[in-house]
Amino acid sequence: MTGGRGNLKLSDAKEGRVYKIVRVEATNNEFARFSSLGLVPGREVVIHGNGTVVMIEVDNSILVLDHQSASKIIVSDHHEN
Amino acid sequence: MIGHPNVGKSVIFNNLTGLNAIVSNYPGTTVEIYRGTVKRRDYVIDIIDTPGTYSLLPASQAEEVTRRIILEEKPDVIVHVVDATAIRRHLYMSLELMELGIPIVLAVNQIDRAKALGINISRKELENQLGIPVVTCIAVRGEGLEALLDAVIEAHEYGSPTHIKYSDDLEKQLRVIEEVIKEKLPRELKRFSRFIATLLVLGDKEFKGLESIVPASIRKILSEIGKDLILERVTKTDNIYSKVVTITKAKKTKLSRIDYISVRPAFGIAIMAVLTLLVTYGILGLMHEVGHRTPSMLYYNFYEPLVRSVVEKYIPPGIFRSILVGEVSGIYKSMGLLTTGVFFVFFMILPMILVLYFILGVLEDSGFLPRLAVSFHRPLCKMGMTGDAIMPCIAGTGCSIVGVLSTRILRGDKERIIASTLMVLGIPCMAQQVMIWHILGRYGLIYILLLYIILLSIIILVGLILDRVILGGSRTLLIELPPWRKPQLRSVLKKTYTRVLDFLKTGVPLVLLGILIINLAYYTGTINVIAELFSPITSGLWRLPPEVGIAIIIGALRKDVAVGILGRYELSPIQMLTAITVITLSFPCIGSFVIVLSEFGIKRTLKIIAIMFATALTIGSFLGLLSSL
Repeated sequence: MTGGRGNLKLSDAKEGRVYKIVRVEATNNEFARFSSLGLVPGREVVIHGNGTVVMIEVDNSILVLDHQSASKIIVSDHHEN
Repeated sequence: MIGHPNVGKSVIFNNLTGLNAIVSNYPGTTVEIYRGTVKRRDYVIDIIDTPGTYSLLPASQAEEVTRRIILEEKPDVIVHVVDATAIRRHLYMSLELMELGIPIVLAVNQIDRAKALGINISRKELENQLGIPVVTCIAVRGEGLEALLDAVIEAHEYGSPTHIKYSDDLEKQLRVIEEVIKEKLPRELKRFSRFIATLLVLGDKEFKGLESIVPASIRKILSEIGKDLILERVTKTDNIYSKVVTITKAKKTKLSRIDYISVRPAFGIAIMAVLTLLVTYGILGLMHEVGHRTPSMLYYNFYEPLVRSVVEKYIPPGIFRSILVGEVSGIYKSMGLLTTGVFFVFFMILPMILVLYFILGVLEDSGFLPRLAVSFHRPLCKMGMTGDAIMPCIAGTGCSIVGVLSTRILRGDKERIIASTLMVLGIPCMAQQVMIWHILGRYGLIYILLLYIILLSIIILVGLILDRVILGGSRTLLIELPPWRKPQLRSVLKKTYTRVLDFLKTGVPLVLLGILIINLAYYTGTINVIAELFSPITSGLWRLPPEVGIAIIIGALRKDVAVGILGRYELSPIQMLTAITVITLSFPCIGSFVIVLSEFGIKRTLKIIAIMFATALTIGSFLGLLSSL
């Protein structure tokens, strides 16, 4: 992960980094749920923690997901600051 | 009133109606629906406060309830309450709600916090963009609520809701679906045909049956249509957001250490568990040491002599006197309503329960519980649940009735039944725990600790087994951590008051009934028959005096009383431990029995009771063996 442009799963994201959601690979039911929580393509996510679960910040809220759910969200490296 | 958890719906509701809706900080606390009325101008407005809901595509029973309320009650106006600091993601649900064809008012709450964070929202522009009235408010201070009511009235008088327009293709497809399902829908749902068409393409379970009547050409691409629908909604929210919101300063969210710890493996769990236990039981232990002597002293020196002398003066010896003050004196010996009954309720349970419910209220309002849910996700997964289940379980330490009811916030059926079973099986209620501290504490704190270890092991073991026996279930965790908040004294006191009042109203009559039954059993000599009947189990397997059988039977009524009356028997420490363990395990008390029955039906209730009884027999026999060594 050294400045690579490649996409990766949110579950593999590195702590302390900022990513951008590229797409969601989930059933519509799950996708709709993600959407109401702000987990949609185009949004920035800050990874606050990635241990037993993934803790992220999106749209000014802190969300926690299990790894399986997080693996359905594809993000790209995105660090402007 | 509809909105995500933690947006301040309950605060608005309380402010408007003055009813006792519980205000809290963890997702889904308003599982029960609260109704109230408010007068404004010439209107009497009935308000329904729905459970916190992320989407109209429900993922839990609580969310299902919200949707049912809309579809069945057909409100005149929907107030969508959103959090100004995170308005973008809330807008998604506004669009969902607009499909319903019911006038909507958007209430943008916590506008002060948003400003402080540098988030500026143009109310006028938001109105233009959405085409619905928008009101900003600060619910905790009651600001903007009158304007909200006025907007509701106006929406009712003039409001005709606008549907959102999607791309032509999508609109065409939705219209085809709408046309065909409209004929099949029951009359009262016809007006929601557009909304139901959107649910259908998103794969909603309740309306799945309608798929078969959709023309094959569209049915084939139903899920693609659904995806387009979501993406178009997302684009729309992004567009609206960019026109309505300006950010003046970049902000960084600060997370506390506990937030980070909660994501760490093992370590996090240990810290969180220790933290909870220390706070709760530290205080409980302290109270026990300090507070135990004073009430007994008051009781023995002043209360009982006084009551006894008055009763003995006016009431002749016989059954009535016995019922009131018993035949001999002493807290555990007399079993009179005015002696033992009053002492149990007012001297033992009430003071401690007040403190414990207060602590529980602080934990809930501080935002601690969702963090606990995160920490416990992994271990709970192994027991067929998700981290979310920790919240009902914590509520269950107060009372299983509340605990079982709050399993409605859980997404899976499997998770609900496992959490409920473990709760009625192994988590003693607050009043019972207080009694345990009094009765078992006499032998030393180590025995209390031992009891908790036994119960916890049983919970874990039964959980592991149930996970394997019951198939299916999901391991999904998707939870929002609300910001840490300083608990408001008023809210915590209000909750404590409501809960204690509930104990006084529903618990106390049963406590007194329990004591009355025991009193009569001893007075009439029935106790010997009961002792005889159950002696193969009580003395045979569990190595307890046969008389203790009555305590276990009373346990089906109130477990705190059951534990309390153990105080009258001379038992060894291990025997006491055995007795309390089997009382806890063997049956649900009548209150939780009723609630489990209504939530899960007779078949599953019987299964739960079978599990409980089997566990009680096994563990009791094992402890019995130990005590006879």
